[in-house]
Amino acid sequence: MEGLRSYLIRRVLIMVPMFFGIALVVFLLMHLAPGDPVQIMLGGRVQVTEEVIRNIRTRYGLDQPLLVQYWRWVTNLLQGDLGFSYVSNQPVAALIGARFWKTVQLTLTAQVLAVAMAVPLGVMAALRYRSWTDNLLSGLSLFGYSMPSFWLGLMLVWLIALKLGLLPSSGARTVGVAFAAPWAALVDQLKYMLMPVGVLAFNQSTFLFRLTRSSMLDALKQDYVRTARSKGLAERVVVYRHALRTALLPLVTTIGLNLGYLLSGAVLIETVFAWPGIGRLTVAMALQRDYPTLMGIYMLLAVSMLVATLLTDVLYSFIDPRVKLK
Amino acid sequence: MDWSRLDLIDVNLEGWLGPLRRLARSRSGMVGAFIVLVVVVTAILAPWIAPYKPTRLFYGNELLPPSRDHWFGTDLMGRDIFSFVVWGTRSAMVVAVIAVGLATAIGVAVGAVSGYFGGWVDMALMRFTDVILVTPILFLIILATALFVIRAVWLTAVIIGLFTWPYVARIVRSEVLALREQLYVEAARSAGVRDGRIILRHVLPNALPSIIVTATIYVAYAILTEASLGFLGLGDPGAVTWGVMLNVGRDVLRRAPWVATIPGLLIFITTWAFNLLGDGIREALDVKEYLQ
Repeated sequence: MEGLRSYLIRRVLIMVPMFFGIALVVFLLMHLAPGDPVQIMLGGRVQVTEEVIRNIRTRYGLDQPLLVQYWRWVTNLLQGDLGFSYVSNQPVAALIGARFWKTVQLTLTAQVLAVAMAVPLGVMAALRYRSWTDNLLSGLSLFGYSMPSFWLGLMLVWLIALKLGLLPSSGARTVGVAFAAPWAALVDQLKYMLMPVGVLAFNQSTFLFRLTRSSMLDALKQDYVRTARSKGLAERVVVYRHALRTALLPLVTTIGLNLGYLLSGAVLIETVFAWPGIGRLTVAMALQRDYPTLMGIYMLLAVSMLVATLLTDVLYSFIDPRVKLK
Repeated sequence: MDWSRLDLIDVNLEGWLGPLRRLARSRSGMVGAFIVLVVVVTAILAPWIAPYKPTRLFYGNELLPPSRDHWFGTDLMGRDIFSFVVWGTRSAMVVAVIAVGLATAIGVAVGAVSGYFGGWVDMALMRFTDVILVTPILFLIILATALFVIRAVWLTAVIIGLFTWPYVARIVRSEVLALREQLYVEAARSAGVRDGRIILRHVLPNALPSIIVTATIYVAYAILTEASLGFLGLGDPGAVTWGVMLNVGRDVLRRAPWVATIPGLLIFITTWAFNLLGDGIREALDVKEYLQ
């Protein structure tokens, strides 16, 4: 137990420099980019006088040395102040608000579905290495992996929503309808979720399938698997007790790290299906060059990712007792 | 004995013939190679293949379905989609060369230095790559794109390259970590060969198979990412790229579904081909797969 605690403390402490590092990258990006930060903030949209620029400069502390500015920005972040959106004239945190949870809803559902599809199929393909089943599944996964998710989304919108009229094409719920029964509202939401979640889960599962398959293949080659077999253990026991357990370990880490990839996919899917999440907000703000909002969103996601990685590590240390000893 | 001759321990050309033969025997690898070849040739010969200039506007002929005059139909502005996507192949290749070139150059340099020297250099460089690896990369790319007032295909490619090299660096580092323990590296070191020379002459040539596979698969990634930005409207709206046509197609999906279908299909096939080719080369060269 002592080992576990010191391990976790170490993990949390690593997050601190990581946070400052990420913040530094984002901060420097804005200040090393060509052009004046004030102009970037104004997005080159409006023509303003020198005086206005000077005022903005003083107001946001842009006349201070870089280090002071960085420090001020980071300490504000740590206090939960994500910055101020010039375009929408409100705090970034307020702008993000509910949208963040919409994205979490979308991505987590997709991730759960993807794991449920990909892991069993990956194990099956590995067990039947180079067989007809394996070749088919592996071929399909590379095919799906190469398919642009936003294009698949568009094609589904055209076919299922526009042509057949089976599902709504965009949004997250029917607006302006009062549902009598609580389950009716839920069914309504599920209808809107089906396509975006499906596309995201499919895209994610192709990657997770490859990962599970190669991780399982590695595990099956290990000495202790051979030992277990030569001891005369039943194949089922060898596969599930010995190989699968080891194969799942790297999977846990990668699935945790993979959330970033999932979020990147969400930007595209949210845009296709007009899902009111953070990805769509990012695109809208990028088109309007609302740089503070983009910085705020990015930092929020980066911190979420750091926390997710930490949780993954904690989970990992419970599954694999060897970790604590390191 | 002339110790400087240790440099002769190097990759020989004959060593590559076996893998090439193995690649030729892989059916999926050859399918990938063939499509890649078609794509590259199309990119080079675009002016001769395309019947019209990609930006020519056929007034009064907007949103025509595929026909004999316009094989893939026309878009909202009356542009010939076939000519547009043929020229789009060229943009995709430009993106591939710039983004992959940059990411590979930086990634190999950082990965080699990090893996070879280890210690605090490795520590610092790897923590830096972690910073980029743990965060959702598309958001960072969008953030960087928003910084620039100008929009251009080459700029998008440069941004993609500048933010994705850590993936390459990680893989190269893992390879170098194993290679630096090899006897011939030990021998070169004890013979007094300088570190830089050891990395260039003894370590990196042996990491080459891994670098080739990574770069090939990375082409698929770069093309897909650039197309994504174009689709989101964050590329150069005046550029002739597949992503831009997809962006147009999205708005007219109901009236003219072919406008979005065709460029998407091309992105899909091209990405697939580079992935197939990459996997084929991986098998032929027996390169370990790193899944991050």
